[in-house]
Amino acid sequence: MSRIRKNKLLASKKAQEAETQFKWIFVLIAGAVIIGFFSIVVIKQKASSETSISAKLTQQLNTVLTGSKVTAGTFQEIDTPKFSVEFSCNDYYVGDISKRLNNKIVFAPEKIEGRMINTWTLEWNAPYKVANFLYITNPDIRYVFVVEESLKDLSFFEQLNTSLPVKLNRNFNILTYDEDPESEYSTLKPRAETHTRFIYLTEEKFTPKIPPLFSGREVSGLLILPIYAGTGDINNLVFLKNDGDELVVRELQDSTFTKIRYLDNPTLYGAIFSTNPDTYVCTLNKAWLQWNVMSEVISEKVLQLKELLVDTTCSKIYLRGAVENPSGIPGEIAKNTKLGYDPELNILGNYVSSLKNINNELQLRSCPLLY
Amino acid sequence: MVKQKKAQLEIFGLMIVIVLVMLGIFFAIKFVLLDPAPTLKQDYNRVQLSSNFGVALLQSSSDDCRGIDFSELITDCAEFQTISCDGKRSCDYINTTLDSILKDTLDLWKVKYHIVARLSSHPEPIIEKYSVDSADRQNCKNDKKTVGSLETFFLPMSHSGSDMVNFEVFICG
Amino acid sequence: MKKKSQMQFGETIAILFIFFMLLVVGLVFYVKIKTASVGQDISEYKDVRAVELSQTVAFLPEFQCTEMNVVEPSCFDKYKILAMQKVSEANHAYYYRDLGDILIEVQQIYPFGETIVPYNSTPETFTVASQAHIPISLYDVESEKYIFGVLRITTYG
Repeated sequence: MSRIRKNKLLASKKAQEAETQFKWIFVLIAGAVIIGFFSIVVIKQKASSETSISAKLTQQLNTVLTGSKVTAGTFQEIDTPKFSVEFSCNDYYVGDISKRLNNKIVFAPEKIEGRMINTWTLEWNAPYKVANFLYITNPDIRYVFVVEESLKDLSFFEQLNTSLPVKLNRNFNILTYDEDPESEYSTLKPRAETHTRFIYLTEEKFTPKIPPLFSGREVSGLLILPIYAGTGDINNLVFLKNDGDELVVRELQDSTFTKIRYLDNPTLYGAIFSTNPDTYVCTLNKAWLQWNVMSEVISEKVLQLKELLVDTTCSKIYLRGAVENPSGIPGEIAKNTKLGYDPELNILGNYVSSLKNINNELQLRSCPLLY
Repeated sequence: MVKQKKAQLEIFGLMIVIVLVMLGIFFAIKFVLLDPAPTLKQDYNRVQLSSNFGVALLQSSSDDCRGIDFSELITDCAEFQTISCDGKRSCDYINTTLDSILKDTLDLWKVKYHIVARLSSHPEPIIEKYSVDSADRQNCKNDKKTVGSLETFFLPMSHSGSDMVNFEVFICG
Repeated sequence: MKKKSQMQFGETIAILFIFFMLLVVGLVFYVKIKTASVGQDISEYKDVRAVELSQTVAFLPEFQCTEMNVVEPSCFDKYKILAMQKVSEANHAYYYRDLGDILIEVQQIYPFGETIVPYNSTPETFTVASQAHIPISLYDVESEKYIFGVLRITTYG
């Protein structure tokens, strides 16, 4: 082969090699740009889908909460996609999406995670129907009821057992508090729950030890003191938090109150389901506000009935003190003192009894009832 | 020859792309754009209307018939027509009053309906009301073919053993 | 050689151009589909909200007939509704949280009577108003009779 031809072939070969190199560089850059572009699209789409799912779940939960307001006495198990919901007094949060609870009275743990929500609704009558309370939990939260040794009367415990929903994930054997390492309490084993709530029925305030097998797990507690042996005070509650191997008092962040009391059974159940004492007290405030408004409606109705049925036996009953202005006495006190729930007041309890008696008398005399 | 095959392959590749794009467009149109709109509100309104109308009507007390409620008047109309209201028999009274109520409610709201009261043992209606537009008589009838919401109320009769009056409120969708 | 490389270069550019055109068309199509889907979701949400509102109003304890706390189904207490007329004005913020900008009216159809307005939060300006009508049984404690009535909920948007 001639030299010139050889040189031409060599140059051609080199040009081809250079071309191939440039081609590959070009392919790499273009490929990287395209992959990068589609990766960004996929990531953004994933974030958008997650927000969309959170919004749908929020809407679904809102529908459940609204539905529960209109039907009482029901326990529902609702399947959901894997989720995490956080509850505060006035809002709930699913991912980035939050929704107002408005006037809904909801007792729930601070956080619920899983694939199912359990809801239970109860009417709150004081003595007339005020609202439906909604309790929220899920099967991954376990409730363990423990009776303190000093408690002699177990009727309160048994009444609690029969009134809570059957499907609630709970231990309701009479488990006596006993720190002995061989005792049933100390050898209690966790199951698959993510959170365990220990409810102690007691007459004394004390700091319970967590069963050893629960150490390191998510645990909270509640002391229920139907009668506090120390002072004779009734219906006291103490919220507890995990502090290593024992449950210590979880103080209210709002120091307006030095203690927390439940008013009746529906409010007691609220304390069982709520893990945050501040949220519990705030929710009771909302219930109290609804009670005030409902009392005004009943009061106004009574005033109208009094005028309609003037000079009858019925109007004489309506004219009696607390009945003429039912929201007046306790309502005024409630509004003027703490603007809502006040654990120091037991007026609600006395007032409710008084109204019940009056309503019974109205029924006996075939008069239009208060409620 | 090789060049021709290469060009054919390239065209083939383009064809695949076009086919895929067409498939994507087809699915998008079928499942998103042509997806029927949810009818939650309409369904709910129909169901609550048929249920609430029946309950409210049957529970209502007559104005000039000694406060007797409509369920009792309907059963009397089906049985012996012993009740007389303001000079009218129970059947006439119910028909007149029902016309008045429907004029201010379902007819005013332009809702298509078919309301019937009949004995469970006898298909012939004792009371029958259709929506005002005469064309609706053909369109809105409580048969198995028409789409709508039916609510049936069973009114036991005092003297006819196990027989009862079926009061049906059918709201067409 | 020069022309060949120019042609190849031109070919590559053309392919890239077509590719990006397809991409842009695809994106535009996707955005349009997504917009239609979101529009449908909004419409569905409005429907759900309307149904929730109807249920909330129809089951307010302030309206329900009760006897010793046993709720009588589908019955509304006339005097409680009259009472609510005054109470809702004094506690507007409380009711607004749950009900929003709506007008609730209770009309007595048979026997014919007054229309009661237990709650009124009509905004000064609104674009759309939709109405829901719920037949109800209104109990009058004075005459001890049940009146055929209609609960009308006007929602503003």
